[in-house]
Amino acid sequence: MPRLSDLSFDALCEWLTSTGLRLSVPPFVFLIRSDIPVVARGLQTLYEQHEYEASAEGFADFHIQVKARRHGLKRVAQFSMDGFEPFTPLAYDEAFALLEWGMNWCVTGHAHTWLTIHSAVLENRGRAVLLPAPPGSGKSTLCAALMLHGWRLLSDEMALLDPVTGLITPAPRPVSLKNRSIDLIRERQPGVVMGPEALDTVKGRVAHLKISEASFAAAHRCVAPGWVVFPRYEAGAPLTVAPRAKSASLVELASNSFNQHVHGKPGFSALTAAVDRCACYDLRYSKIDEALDWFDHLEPPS
Amino acid sequence: MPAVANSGVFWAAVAAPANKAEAVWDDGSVIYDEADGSLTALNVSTTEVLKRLRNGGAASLATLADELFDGEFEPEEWQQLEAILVQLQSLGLVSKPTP
Repeated sequence: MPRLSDLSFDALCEWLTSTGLRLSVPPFVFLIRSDIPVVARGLQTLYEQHEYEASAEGFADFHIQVKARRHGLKRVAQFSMDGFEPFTPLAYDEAFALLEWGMNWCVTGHAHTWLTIHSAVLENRGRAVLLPAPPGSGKSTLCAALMLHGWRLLSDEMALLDPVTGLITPAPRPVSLKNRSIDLIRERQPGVVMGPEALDTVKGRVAHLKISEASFAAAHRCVAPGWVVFPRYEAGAPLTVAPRAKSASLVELASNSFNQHVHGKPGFSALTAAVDRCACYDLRYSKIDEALDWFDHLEPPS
Repeated sequence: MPAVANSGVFWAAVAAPANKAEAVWDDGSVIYDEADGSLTALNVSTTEVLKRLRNGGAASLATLADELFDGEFEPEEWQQLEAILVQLQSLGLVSKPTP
């Protein structure tokens, strides 16, 4: 299958506005339609290595659109899946961020083959670390820094835990960065590729960071969980690490799951097995390099 | 042992109901109730009491206190043990069998 980088910007816009483009975003296929140029620009910048088919024929897990419409006199962007519009429209210039959030919603709301957990996931030396954390904890910044440091990104947003195999399925997509994190990551690595910036979203300024080549290349390789780390950024704080009880970790992971209720007892058992094979920690940090060093020295649990 | 009420009441572990699942570690445990999808975290002490009743069979409050507190305990610890048993009973994990 051809890659998106093979397609000119004009041709990409043409496909997006007409029949749609089937984009392989492992482990899913999205059929995407959009008449908003910033969506095409974001896709071209951040998904260039992904395979596509310029056709609406064939299978796609999710059929989605981000279309322009008028809200009063203002032009806005509206996301829909199979004609259903789950969100209120956003500003026209925020269309690419809306596409990314909509793709997240598709997976977390519908991909019930997996137990989905709100967590970043990265891999090093054959084991995955889960970073479940509330907004403001620095999860995405840490996740981006770890990926740029050589860890393989499985996802910055959701862990897809296979309840049968106990492995985590990668779903690497651009890392969503907000406000100061955007500048911080750019300062740390000036060559990084980011997509279009949305300037005034409810989350503030948002930009997406392209995933590393290594993360994309291994996007079909599942991995066993090895650690659960609950990160908390605290300005000026020294790096401190404390083991967290497995029982408390399980409760926290379950509360961060989007669909544990769908999986019932087997889901609980799968989550228990995942926690059982992990070492669990609370991490407080202020300096990213110190945190990266700590991650690099994590020993796989026996 | 101080003279306390309910010291002779027997407690026993109940076979886990089919709609419940549990995860047990040394640092505590978690009970999942499929009926409403709820999770209940049990702390280390509660987990120890549950383990004792499961592994050692039914026991009176006095016996449990004796074993778990190594023969020495304060009235508040006794009350703590009673509260633990009441919590486990409310979760359907222990009962007071009729002699």
